[in-house]
Amino acid sequence: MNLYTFTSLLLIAIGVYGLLSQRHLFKMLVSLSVLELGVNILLVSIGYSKDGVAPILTPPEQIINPVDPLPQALVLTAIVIGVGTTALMSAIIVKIYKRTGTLDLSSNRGEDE
Amino acid sequence: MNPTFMIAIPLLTAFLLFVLPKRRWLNTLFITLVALFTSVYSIAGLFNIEKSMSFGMGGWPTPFGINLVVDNLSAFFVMVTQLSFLLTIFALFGWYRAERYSGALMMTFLAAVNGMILTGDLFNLFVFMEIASVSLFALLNLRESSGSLKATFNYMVLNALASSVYLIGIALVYRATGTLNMADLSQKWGVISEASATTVFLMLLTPLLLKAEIFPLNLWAPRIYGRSSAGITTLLAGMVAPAGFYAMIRLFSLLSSSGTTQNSLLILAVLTMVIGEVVALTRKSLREMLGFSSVAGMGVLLMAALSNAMEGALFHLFNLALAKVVMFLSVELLTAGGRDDLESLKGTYKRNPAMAFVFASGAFSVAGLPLFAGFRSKLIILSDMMKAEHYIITAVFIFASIVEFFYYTRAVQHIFSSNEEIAGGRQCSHPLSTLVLLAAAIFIIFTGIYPESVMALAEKAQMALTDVGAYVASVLGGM
Repeated sequence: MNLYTFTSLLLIAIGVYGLLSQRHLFKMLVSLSVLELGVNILLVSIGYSKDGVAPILTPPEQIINPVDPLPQALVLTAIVIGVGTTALMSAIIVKIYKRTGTLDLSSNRGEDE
Repeated sequence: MNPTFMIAIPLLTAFLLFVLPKRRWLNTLFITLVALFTSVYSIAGLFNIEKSMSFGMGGWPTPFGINLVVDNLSAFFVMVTQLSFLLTIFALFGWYRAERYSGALMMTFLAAVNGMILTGDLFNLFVFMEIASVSLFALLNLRESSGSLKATFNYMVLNALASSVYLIGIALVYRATGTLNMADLSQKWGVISEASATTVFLMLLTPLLLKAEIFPLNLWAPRIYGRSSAGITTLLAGMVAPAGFYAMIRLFSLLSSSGTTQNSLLILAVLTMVIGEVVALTRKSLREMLGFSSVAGMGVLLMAALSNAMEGALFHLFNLALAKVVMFLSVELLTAGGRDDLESLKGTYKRNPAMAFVFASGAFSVAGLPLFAGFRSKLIILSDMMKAEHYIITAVFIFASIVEFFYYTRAVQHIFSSNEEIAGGRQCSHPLSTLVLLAAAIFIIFTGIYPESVMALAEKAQMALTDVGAYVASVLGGM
């Protein structure tokens, strides 16, 4: 297991811990972001090879030790999706705060039912 | 049928809505036209499929690029989801006129659900799942309340967790086999050792179980169904859950899994069914009752799929999706979006007799009363499970059906009981939506009496599912 895989697993663990232990909506959102970051690093670490080069604009015969570009493409997509969900979640959190006046998930203040 | 249209046209419309002049009727017209087109196109395509067809996207050769697959199975599921969508659009005609934003969200949602079903690539499936979820999260809050917002937040957190698990699964699959194409993967699946294969398989299944509302990943469902507008939760019960179920059975057939995995999933499915039915019995709110019943229905489907009753499961999925959509919509129109506890429903049939009839036909279909479509499919599931000698599960299934029958009859009885306080004449649904829902209700009864046409489609779909060789050959070109 290289350093990147280790880091990613550590970040995933931090994220899961944060999600389980926090009741504050924004702290939960931050935990989720940390978790997603960990997953993205895990994806990149799969294509990693030591001293590899990115196979962009290099003639095929000169590439000796290429980095696998596919996981990087996957991560780009995953990051974009992550940004989208984070933005939507922030919007929903703001709306919850406006309606209930609290950011605590376990509080029942302002429930209309 | 060219699957590109099923995704591209709704997606294009979503963006077109922002260019067109800002008129509500124009947006509504556009959305309705697109929904009509995708429905007609998918039904027409369904009858013209000879064998499995694969379409490579973006000019890449297939195992490397993304491909879309059309065969009898995926076309069947696309047809089911299109019908749900079309019904929803028409039934909401009366009170819902599309704003630009919600119209565009509906369109991206439609495109993403079609993509989830048609895609042949694991990562592409992830992308479409996320697009569908994000559009749905926003749509669920069309009529926002602090309850619906909190329920959505819950759902989003669970969904993000499940997606992360899926992504880790993708990372592991790619590391072990070097491919993310489902057909290619089914050829190389043997490379992974059995213990790791089970782990990876369950990781890939996690978000699909969440979408298909299988216990214990369905904890979000009751709150969403109870607090959001029923017009939108039809999209959940009639489109997202079937799409998740489709992806699940596709993975089951392509990637071999150990007997233990299948058995534990079967236990989860039975638990989903029993818990769903029993809790539905205790609910006072009609929307929550329908929500739990829909969870239980997905349990029935997974149970049937895992115990050699796949054909019945596919037929039941069609009936269930139709009946659920019809029931959610008629509840929305019966209550006019207001109170929905059983007591306040007393005598509502006077207010809107057509909707009461529609609700009753949907309820009796799900409950499995003879003459209604659900009876036929439940019978097939029962007899197939008996043939496969799953006696204990069959007994549990019968018990669950009795519970289901009881609470649906109770709801229908409340609606049709007489109540002096409610005066007649308060019609709150648009004539067009009444007409479309009535047509759907009559179709449910028609399918109950003449089940052959839908049965034939389910049978063809089931054959396409088991014929893994044809699927792989169509994608990889006989490699």
